[in-house]
Amino acid sequence: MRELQELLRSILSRHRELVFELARREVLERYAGNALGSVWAVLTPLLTMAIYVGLFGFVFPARFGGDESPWLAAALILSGLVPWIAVADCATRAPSTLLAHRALVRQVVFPVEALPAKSVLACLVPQIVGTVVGLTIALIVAGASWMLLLLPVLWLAQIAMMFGLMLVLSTLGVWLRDLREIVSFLANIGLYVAPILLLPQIINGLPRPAQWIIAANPVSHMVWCFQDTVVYQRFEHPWSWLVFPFVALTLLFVGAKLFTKLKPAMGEAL
Amino acid sequence: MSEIKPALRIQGVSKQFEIYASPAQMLLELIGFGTRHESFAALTDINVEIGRGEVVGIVGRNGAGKSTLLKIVAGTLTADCGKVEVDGRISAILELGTGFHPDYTGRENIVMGGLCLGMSRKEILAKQEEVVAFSELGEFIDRPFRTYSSGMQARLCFSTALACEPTILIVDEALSVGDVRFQRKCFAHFEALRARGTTILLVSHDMNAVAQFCDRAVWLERGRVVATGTAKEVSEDYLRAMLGEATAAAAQAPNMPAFSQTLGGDIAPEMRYGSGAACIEHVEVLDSNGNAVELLQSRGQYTLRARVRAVRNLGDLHVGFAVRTVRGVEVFSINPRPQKVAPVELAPDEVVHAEVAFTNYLAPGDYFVTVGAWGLNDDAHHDRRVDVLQIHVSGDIGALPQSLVDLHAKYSFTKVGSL
Repeated sequence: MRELQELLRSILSRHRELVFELARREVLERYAGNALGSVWAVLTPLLTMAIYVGLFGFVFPARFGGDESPWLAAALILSGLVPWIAVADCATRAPSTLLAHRALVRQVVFPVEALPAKSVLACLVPQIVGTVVGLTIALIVAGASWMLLLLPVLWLAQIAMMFGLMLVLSTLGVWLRDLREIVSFLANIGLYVAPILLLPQIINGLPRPAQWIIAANPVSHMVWCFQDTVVYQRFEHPWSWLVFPFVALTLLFVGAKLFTKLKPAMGEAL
Repeated sequence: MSEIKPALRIQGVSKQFEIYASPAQMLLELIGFGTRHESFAALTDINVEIGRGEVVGIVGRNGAGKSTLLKIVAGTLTADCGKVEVDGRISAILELGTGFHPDYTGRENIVMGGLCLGMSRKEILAKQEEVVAFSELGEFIDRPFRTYSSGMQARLCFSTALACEPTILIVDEALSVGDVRFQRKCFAHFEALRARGTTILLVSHDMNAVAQFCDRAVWLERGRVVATGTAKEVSEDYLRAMLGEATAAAAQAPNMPAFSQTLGGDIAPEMRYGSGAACIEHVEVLDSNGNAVELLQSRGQYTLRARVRAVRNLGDLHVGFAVRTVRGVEVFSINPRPQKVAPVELAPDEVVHAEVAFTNYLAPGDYFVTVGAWGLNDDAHHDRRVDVLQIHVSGDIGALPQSLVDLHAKYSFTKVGSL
């Protein structure tokens, strides 16, 4: 608890401006040298979403005889896909976050925790774009309801999960160099073990063990929470509302503890 | 110092690191599978109080806990117990080029560097022109950092670190890079800062810099304060300890008659080669009382002595000495010929002392002695030991620190009237 408090104090108050500046630079640098520059920060998530929604919302259900309307399917997919992209992006980048800034990690006065914090922040940029698009579609298809007021809570929980994940993976990444490959493999698979592209009627048609695997995936619960809020607009998956915040906070605690414990040893290991 | 509040007070600070064999071990411990680490005491009960405007050197070999202490002072690490009270803002001279992105312009890097040091964006922007002026970069300030020479990069880092008007400035070995003029400018600026009441912590392996520039010094060894005192005393004690160890290591090393041999540790490796017809057994400097010393005072009387044993019959043994600076500049060298001393004849196992009595006109600093033994009729050395002995000269010669020799100079002004 103390570790977490200190981390949050450092990144949210003492070094807030540093975190923002680092995040801004990361977003700019990621696309530096491209003709379209940081336009890609907006374009990439839009294209990804368009492809997934097109394939899994319109093409496949038509083949498999889905009974949801394509636009409802699109809203469902987007409500889960948007946070998923951010989480997966965050997890994939995490193992190399500290490695990429060895010089800073070794500094005497540099607050190392600013690095995972800025990476999380940079991963949220596509989500802002996606949320605008997703919400627009959802509002047209499902209309507005008081449930939407819960969105900020979900975002907070999602950010907590991302930061926890980032802390754990970036810390371990210092010592386990293969972590990057493992995580990016898992992130690729993860999309298909969660109710993101697999619409409800597809999941219902799956054998029991497969359904269990999906329910065992913590990310599934995040997705269900977002779907409940944006599309169903009722607590369709009440359990998820317990599991998701619990997982997010646990990750955050474990991450803060791990990171604080290993911080002194990082300089040597890099 | 007692009336005013100290700038920095470190009370009973200890820090332990937990060392795990692998991250997996730590995960197991975190989940609750018992203790799986070894503790390592990086700092044990450190008590230091530093007043405003004091310049304090922190000395100690690598791993003694200097960086850990500085990180705790700077607030990037938290101590396990004890208290650190800092009255004011801390800044540090960044390692060259870190926090600085090569593709950004100097101006943009000032912003980043300042943020890394804990300044707010507003403050940095207000100071920017001052930093630009101090760095003397002129029009280069708007060019990418990577196009700068290393001297220019150093100037920018230095200027940025000073911009936040620290009350405590940490200078961590950063000055060893950069040209001499720049180093001098840094030290001159430190003097100005100190006059304004800035406290400076200087971490350095250069004992001359510590002795000259610092008021006090703290010597850390294995996480404990071994000594505090005036910079001159502490740095001399420290050097004596380091040199003593080096000598002890040399004494323990097997006495090889020839070929190459290197000594590990903190001292420069010795290079040794030769045919093995003679063996330079021991090299030392004796003071006027005949005691072996490694710490020499300026202008003192000393004798450089080498003990050489013949392995086979030698008709005309020459023994030569050379004294070189750390950078390898030969300051002085001698062998029997210039003084028309006849070479010696030795039977196997006979031992001779070659001695050079001298007045120490070396300027303060570190020097290495090289000794060679050869015969006029042989084309190779019998034995040559490069940098076999490290000596340190201390003392005040009334000259600038970059001097190599003490010319026994007297400085004066004489008014010659108006012309």
